[in-house]
Amino acid sequence: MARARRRDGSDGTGGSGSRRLIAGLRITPQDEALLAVVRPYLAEAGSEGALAYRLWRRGLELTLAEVASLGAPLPRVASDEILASSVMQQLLVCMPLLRRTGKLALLGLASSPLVSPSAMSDTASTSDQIDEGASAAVAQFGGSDFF
Amino acid sequence: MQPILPAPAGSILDLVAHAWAADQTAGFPLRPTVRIGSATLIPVAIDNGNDALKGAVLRHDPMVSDGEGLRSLLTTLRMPTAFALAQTIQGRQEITYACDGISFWTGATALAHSGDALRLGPTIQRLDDERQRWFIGAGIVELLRAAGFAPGEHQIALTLAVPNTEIVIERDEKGVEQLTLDTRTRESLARHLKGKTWTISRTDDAQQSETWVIKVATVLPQAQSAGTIIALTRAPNGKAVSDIAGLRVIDIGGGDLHVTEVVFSPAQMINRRAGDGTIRIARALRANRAFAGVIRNDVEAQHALVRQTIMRASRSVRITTEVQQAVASKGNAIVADVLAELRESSQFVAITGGGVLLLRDLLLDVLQHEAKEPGRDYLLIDGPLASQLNAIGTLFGLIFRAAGK
Repeated sequence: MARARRRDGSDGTGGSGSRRLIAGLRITPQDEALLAVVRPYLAEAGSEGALAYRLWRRGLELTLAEVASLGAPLPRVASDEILASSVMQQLLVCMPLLRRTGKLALLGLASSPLVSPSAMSDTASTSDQIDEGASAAVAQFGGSDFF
Repeated sequence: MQPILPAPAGSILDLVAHAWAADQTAGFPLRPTVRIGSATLIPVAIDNGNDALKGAVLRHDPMVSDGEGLRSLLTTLRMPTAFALAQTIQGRQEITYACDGISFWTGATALAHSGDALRLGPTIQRLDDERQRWFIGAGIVELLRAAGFAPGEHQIALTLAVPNTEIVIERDEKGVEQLTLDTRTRESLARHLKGKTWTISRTDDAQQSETWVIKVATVLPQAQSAGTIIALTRAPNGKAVSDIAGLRVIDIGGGDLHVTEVVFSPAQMINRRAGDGTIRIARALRANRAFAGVIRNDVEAQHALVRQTIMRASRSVRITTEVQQAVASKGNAIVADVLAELRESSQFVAITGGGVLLLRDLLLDVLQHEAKEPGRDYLLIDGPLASQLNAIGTLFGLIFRAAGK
């Protein structure tokens, strides 16, 4: 879920190219109460429409990942790699809830504090564990003087 | 849209490209702050380019609670290098900053109100202009705000990406040669940014005034291409993730086409300015008689190149054809320079800079006929990362240096 203002400064809902209205949403009071919970965490969505689009887009990604898992072919604009990366990030932020409710064990992930792709496995460390050689590498190319 | 890049697996570049390609915010298992001495500071990276200021900062991931490990999210910003004194507006209010008693607009807002380009050139010339310092302060405010920081006082560790040519070889007190900042740039940074406090009020259409006090506790200058090198060869925890022994960075910037060759061990760095950057194309567009009086300065021309629109007689006008003509006439010359650098290099080559976005089609067309292979011999840093990578990499450079202090 994109929770920050995007790198181009937009609210991230503009996407690439124009967007077309394809559905209206009629939601229940219960849904509205749930929406009120997430709204503060998506404050950068500047309108109800932008917020709805964010949530819809996230649901679409998850559903796409489900059907891709079942073998559905993906369009050219998507790929297994991109989709897996996206869903992984969604899963990652759900870990505290899954752990708290004991669902990690059901997934067979109880022994792992964080689910991360192989690309991130080497980097799961704190800033207290920054590789010693990195500082010297920055310094040797001129980044040596703190003012 | 950010494409996936054939970058070293686990590198900062790889992780950000994957996240952005999935329209996600890039996250890292790091603290969003650094400790220098006894102070806890927000690391802020600014790459103050000729065409635009690029910024990068980390913030705590609000979805990860205490005790659940560390995770920080990356926020970046790009703001055209334009400045205008604010005017009284009746109607919808623009985002307006006030600092040292001066009210001003920056970026796209300044351009929309006939703003001026800021000075080009070396750091000393730019920082001597107080508008430039207000502009940087406003950029930091906007960056922190985009990252979710609240108004108030913030102490930052600022890293500034300076032109590569301002990094020189000097001998230290033991007589050992090392790369360091040239004296004039050092004096300029010490005079204008060391211990700097910006007190900036920000108002927008909501008319809610915010006061931001940005205190610069420390400044770490870095060569701008160091950002690309760090992002390409290091993981977020600083570990080396590439087996290359050095590389050549071809940076197609707004002002300069710049080439940097580095060898990692022993450390060597060679810099040269290979020619003008996309300013060649922007000036061709500006010189087009069809835009006389409409595109008034270089930064407006650069902005028109990126947006492919101009405002004429109160109308937004598409200028895609004219931009394509300017790119075709002047862009091919830049591509030829890039190809020459790529072909004659025996090193791995990274092609980066905001100019890649403009020249993407031309570059892809010629690169597919090259004997060298993407990923193995070279890497074209495509998509939004092309203009933001130096800021992101220098942010991590600052975090790494702070950990080693």
